[in-house]
Amino acid sequence: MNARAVLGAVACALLLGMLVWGFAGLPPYGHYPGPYGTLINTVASHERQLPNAISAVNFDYRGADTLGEEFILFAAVAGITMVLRNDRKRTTPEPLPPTRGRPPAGRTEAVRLFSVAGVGVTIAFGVYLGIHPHLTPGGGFQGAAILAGFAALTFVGLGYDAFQRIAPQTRNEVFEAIGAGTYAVIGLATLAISGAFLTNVLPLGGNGQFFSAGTIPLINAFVALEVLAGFTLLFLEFARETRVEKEEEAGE
Amino acid sequence: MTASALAPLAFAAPLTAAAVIAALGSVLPRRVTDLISIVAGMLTATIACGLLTAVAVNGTVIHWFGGWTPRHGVALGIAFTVDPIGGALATFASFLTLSALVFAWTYYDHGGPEMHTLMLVFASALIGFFLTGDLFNLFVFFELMSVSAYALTAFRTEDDSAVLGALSFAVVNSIGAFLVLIGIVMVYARTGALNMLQIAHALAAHADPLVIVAFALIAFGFLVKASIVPVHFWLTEAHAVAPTPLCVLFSGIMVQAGIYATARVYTDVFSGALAPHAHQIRVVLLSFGVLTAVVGALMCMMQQHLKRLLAFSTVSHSGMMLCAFALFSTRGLAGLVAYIVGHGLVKGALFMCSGVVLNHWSTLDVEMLRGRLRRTPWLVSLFGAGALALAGLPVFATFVGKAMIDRAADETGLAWLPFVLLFAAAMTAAAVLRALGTMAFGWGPKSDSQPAQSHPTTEAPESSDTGIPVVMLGTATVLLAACVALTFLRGRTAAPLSAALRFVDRQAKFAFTMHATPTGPLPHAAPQALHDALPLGIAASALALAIAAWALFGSRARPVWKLGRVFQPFRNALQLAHSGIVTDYVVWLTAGAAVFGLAMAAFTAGML
Amino acid sequence: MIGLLAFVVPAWIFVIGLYGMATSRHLVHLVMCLSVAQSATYVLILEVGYRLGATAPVFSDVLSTVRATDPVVQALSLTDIVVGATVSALLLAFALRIYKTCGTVDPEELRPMRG
Repeated sequence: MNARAVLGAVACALLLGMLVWGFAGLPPYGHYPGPYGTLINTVASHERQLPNAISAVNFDYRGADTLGEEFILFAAVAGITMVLRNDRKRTTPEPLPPTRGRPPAGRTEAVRLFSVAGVGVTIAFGVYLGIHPHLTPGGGFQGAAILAGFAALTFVGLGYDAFQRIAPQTRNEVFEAIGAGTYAVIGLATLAISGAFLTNVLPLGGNGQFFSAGTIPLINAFVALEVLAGFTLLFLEFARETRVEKEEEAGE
Repeated sequence: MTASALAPLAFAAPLTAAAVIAALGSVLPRRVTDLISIVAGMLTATIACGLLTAVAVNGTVIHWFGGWTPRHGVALGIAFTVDPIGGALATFASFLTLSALVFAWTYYDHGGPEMHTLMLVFASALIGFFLTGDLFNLFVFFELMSVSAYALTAFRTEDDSAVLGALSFAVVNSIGAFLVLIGIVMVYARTGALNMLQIAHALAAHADPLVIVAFALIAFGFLVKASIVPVHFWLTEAHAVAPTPLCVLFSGIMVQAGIYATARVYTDVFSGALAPHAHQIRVVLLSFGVLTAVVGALMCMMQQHLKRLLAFSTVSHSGMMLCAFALFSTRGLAGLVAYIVGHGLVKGALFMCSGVVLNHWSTLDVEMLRGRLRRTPWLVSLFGAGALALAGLPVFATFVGKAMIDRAADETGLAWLPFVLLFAAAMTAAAVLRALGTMAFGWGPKSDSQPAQSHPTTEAPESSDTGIPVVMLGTATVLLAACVALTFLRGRTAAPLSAALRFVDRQAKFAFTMHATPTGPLPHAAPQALHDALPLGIAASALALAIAAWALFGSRARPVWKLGRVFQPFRNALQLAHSGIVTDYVVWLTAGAAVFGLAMAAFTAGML
Repeated sequence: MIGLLAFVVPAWIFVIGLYGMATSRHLVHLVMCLSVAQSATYVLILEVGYRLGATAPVFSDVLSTVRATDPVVQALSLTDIVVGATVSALLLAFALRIYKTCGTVDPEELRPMRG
């Protein structure tokens, strides 16, 4: 439809012009002036006893944003399972028939070896990254996203059945709900304790220690749980699409 | 339990309930999760009422998350700044959600608890959206509301076009969200703040291209949610396929949240900087609003599918609401709020009625339903009452809102506006009345405007109970009854007016937010006498009946009355534009954003 | 001049993503273009908070008074990325389902029902 391409190009050009005209008024690149970031940099590590100001912003100063974002992930995963699962019977699916007469390539030993080896490294690295957001530039999201890679590796290296046994669906759903729900519950609990939602009420410890920064590592752990469970559930649902349903048994 | 603690509780309670249902949904029986969700809905509504009462008493309520109060004029944390309008809309959202959950009791005996989980998350996002005073927090709740809406629209997966509607919805609204985010980032770069009132203070009275483009982007992004022409296409696609409780919420409060956000961001963030250009901005907003109202009304008349008809009427009324905001007057704002509530109740009831129709007769095609509603007088009267409420008959709350908007338009010098709004409202009401005439009495010519493409004439029912459950009709009746009851409430104009007065009082809110200076109780407002608005209100309903009669019986009249042929090319063009192709919608959105922003820039640059 | 170029980049990425969506003939391509448009927002957010010659806002080995970039925008972009990833995943699931029921992923051939 050439008319659409032409109209689209014209509209995009106009929008580009408008954006650039507006961006011309931005502070010059590399000269962030604003008070918000500077203030946080100055006070965060002292007030929250942690070196990573970004985690402080994520889980403490702007914790409500992260709570909302967690539930966005939650809602999206719920939507995906709903859309992809709808009429799936809970029988054991079989692999898809070969496409156009070409049988699927089997899994070679090399693939299995590297996948299994990779799983160990992935888990170690993911846990390392995710477990101390207050001390290093890592955090729950990053670590959990890497950890969820183990799901993909298992699928590639060991096949769908092994994947399914390691990460069964209901367990994922429950963990995901626990992760998201506990974040909200922590907020409610702090509301009850101190009158403000998501206040950092746990002991702050010393800067640089593992047990420091109060609720931040705790919230981070639940965020990591939710992201891990959510992504694994996602991979599971998409991996299921490579299977085809067996005919339903009579009377089932 | 202090008043300030009610604000986060109102949005966290349904969120927790959603997580609980998700965790236990696979082990608990279906009815138990239904009950949990209804209880959560009632709890949320109660908390929201409590919050609204606190706001009415204290004037404004504020909650700083994490206890992070501002320091040296810099806001460190996120604030929920609850003023009466935000509180009222959040309470309305919670009640509408409760009614939708009750309506969904008879729904989907098969299927999992995901619908309830997602509806509670959606409700929580709406409530947070109305309460927050932080710009990025507003964006996060906007996205949360949107994502749960996308997921819920695709719920009826046995319907082939459900997922397609959800895809259009998701693509268009996501781009709108990006536009909002770009605008927020631009403002943050300039002022280094994310708290709305702090930003306004930092922007002062200075309006340069950055401020104008940022406002244009944020406003247009929110107006995508508000289904303004030319970004309204997603609404009709989504409504045609979404389950009925969702349509109730979408048309009842979600679309209006877009208008509210535009109003809130303009008032709390940009009203100082853009005040010198208010007149020019009003021209742009009014143009889009009037265009939306008229196009929506015309398309509404051309629909044969009940839900698409109602969706287009939402588009039209949304345009009217944008016009109401564009007046930039306190009375206009008050009328807007009253109209949002009144319209939401009516639209909710009408969608519930269409849900009943779908359930009982497995189709929403007016032609297929010809004469079938003959034996259900309760349903017919609900449809009729709803249609007249859309026109603004003076027993419904929509009349109150419309009267205030009309008076505000006169005060602003736009005496032509009430007549345009009257025409649009009458057309939308006439469309429902025309459909009712065909469905209930078999009137009207056989439809000859079937499009060439085939479309399914029967759809999957939404419940296995093919009778008409009393619960379904009961909830619709309650909503309409509430609409009537609000009309006769004492303070029906005074309350919105004083709420609007507080809403626009940026200085007081700023002092309260940043320096903890109490705002004091709500300002007193003189109620508006409504009897001089009665003629227009009755005229709208009369016009609606006349148009409906012409549509139903006009083909029997002499040829000189047949104006249809004159409008035919126009109608064809409109039908062609609503192609259903998602890439077309992207082009409309890009073009709309560019035109909107450039118009804003062109109009205001003359003053720079 | 280089200053404005830094901000032309995200504007260009956004607009080219939109153009890709407008002319797309495959739903997966459409979702990826949406992703491209979203990545423009990440770039813009992070550019806005940058400080020339400053270090990251992690103060484990430097004093907190050292000149550091803005941590708030980095937290915002983290939120934005998670949102973007989940929306893309949801849209891809939609695309998959559409393929299964309609047999095509060409947007021009996919028209919902009319009435």
